[in-house]
Amino acid sequence: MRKVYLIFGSLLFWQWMARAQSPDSVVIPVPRTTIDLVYNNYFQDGNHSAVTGGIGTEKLTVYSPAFNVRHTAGRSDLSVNLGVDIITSASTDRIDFLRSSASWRDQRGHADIGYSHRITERGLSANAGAGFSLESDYLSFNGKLGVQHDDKEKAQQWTAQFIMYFDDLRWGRLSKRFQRPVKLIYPSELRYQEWYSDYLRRSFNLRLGWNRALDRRTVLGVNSEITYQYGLLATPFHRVYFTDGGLRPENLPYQRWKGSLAVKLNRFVGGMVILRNSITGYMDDFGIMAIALENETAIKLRHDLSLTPGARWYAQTASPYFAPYAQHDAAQEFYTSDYDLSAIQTITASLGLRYAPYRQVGRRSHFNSILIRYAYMYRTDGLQAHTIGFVMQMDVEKNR
Amino acid sequence: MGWLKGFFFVTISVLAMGCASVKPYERQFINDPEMKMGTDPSRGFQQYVQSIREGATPAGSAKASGGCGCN
Repeated sequence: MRKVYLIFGSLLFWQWMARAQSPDSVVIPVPRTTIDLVYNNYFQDGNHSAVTGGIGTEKLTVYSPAFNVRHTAGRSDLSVNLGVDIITSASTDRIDFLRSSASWRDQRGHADIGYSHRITERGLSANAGAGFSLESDYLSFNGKLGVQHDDKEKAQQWTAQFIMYFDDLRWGRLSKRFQRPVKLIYPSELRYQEWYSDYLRRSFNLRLGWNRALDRRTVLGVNSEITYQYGLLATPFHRVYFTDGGLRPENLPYQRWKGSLAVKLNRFVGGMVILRNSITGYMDDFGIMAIALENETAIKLRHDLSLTPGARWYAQTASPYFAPYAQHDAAQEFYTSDYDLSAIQTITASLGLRYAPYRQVGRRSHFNSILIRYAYMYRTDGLQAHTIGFVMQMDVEKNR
Repeated sequence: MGWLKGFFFVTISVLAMGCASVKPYERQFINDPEMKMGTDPSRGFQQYVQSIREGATPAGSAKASGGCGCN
């Protein structure tokens, strides 16, 4: 009988000991710096340039190197992203028909800094960030505030983020002659008057996200975003030709509401295939409704090598403000011949290769992964685009 | 409009599904780097391009900063 008490008592004691471990205990990670070297190359060509009123070349090349650093120490996480885009655009060359170069070169520099801090042991974090983007006809500042909550078992995550963009569309900052914002740039033949009452664009975005592990092989994510923009939403150097032969710069309403909802489902099938599926719905008060379906399948060829083919289909309705070249009525209040706002479908096919050995190089550094991705996009108005991406990730860990 | 109603119906149905608890020792699949919900910088650039060449801005898409996107 005593033996039974002893065994029963021991079981109770060990069960109590197991519960006595604090459920809120947190593993403090070793300070670590993660570095991403990123290079993207984008080419497109089409025949519906908005700069020339919905006709003409849309040939564009963007070379886009970037550098991301994220440092994690204790409860805090600091990230810095820097990047440059070198843009060669045949259509932008046509803002001024007198320009004789075959294509026009522009640059865009952008930088963002972010900080997040875990406030409580129960998984609540707060984050904040700021950044800017500068190109010859555009200066944008942004600010972000957000919160995130991870549950104890890390099976569920809530996020909320508020992002503001303040944009100035005046040209002149990257011109050696001016180095300061001077004026809005209209097509060369329309510079005899000011067409807009504002040169600023403000955007306010609210993002809400929820991720949850449904079972040991499936993760579900839901993201929603509401955006309110006001100010100059038209692009000053987009031409619009009218049925009566008239010509004016594009004109769009001074405010816009956008709403979007995306559902993602990632599922590990068998031992080597991961299906990443998503469906996204979108609508705005410019009259555009859109839906996108996407699948990306990661096939693990080895534990450190994955092949990632992907496909995406997207369809949108046209904005009533859109009409092709020389089909606008002169009595219309708002008008554009930008095919980005027309009834289009896009089909994208992509292929990625990721090698992730997490190999030690040096005493404290790890080579995490290298990723190469190619994507081809076809838009039903004839525009075609190619993107080649390259990302290399390294980790530097501080000794304990 | 029919497809939009269908989309929201599917979304609400998925949200209403029960979720099983996943124990820490059962997480080898969902902790795999390929199962992450976030995007890598290469996909982020692709989403940035899509948000310019398409009229819609997808929810939660990566957008490094502002930018004209008017070329």
